[in-house]
Amino acid sequence: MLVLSRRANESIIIDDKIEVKVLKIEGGTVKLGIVAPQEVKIYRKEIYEAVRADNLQATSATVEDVCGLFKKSKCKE
Amino acid sequence: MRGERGLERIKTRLGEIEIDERDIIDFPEGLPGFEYLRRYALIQDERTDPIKWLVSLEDENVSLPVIDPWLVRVDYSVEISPADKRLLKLEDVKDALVLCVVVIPKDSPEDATVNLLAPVIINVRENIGEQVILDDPNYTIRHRIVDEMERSRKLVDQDVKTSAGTESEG
Repeated sequence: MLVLSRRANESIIIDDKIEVKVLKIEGGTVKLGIVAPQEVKIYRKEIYEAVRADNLQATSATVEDVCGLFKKSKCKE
Repeated sequence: MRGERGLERIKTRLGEIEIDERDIIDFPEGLPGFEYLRRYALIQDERTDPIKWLVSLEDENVSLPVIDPWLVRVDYSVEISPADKRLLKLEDVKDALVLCVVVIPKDSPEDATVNLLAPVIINVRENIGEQVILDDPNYTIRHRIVDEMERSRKLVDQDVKTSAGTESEG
């Protein structure tokens, strides 16, 4: 991992097209401003990880599990 | 295995199914958790209706139960970002099919949840799909379906009452 030190109002540039700027440092929080082309996706990592965990859990479902959800008579076949 | 008419037989957790290659949906970026899987099909199974299945054609263990989010939350809204529109090659939003992933706990199906924060969007004209992550504080990854349906029912009831009231006054 590359480690750089930055102060408030300093930036880094990634691949000539993505700028990450430190806007504010307050308490335990760093406020970042990001300028990037539209096609670049930016997520909070914990949200992406939570979606991933949700998908992994979802895929363990069986037809019987779904039947339990709606309690439809068709499922008893 | 590929048949003569462009049909492919695929093993899934729902059993063996036959897919017309024109119905194969490409997920250029995979799905979070399955980034390496790109080819999917959307399967309807009358046993689980209204839940459909997003089935991987590359890993028989991957089948995600999905539901039309408006069945669960009547006032759901999705804003597709320009970046996602570009990836989906989506020119007309009418071509967008929106589905949300359902998680059903094994021991308590009544606590099933739906992911309204990260809907799966499929451009049905191009057969390109993506699971997008919305920037909307109203939605989370786990909305309890039973609670959402109760909320929706109340909203619809209110609506009916309001419009009935307006009619009788007019």
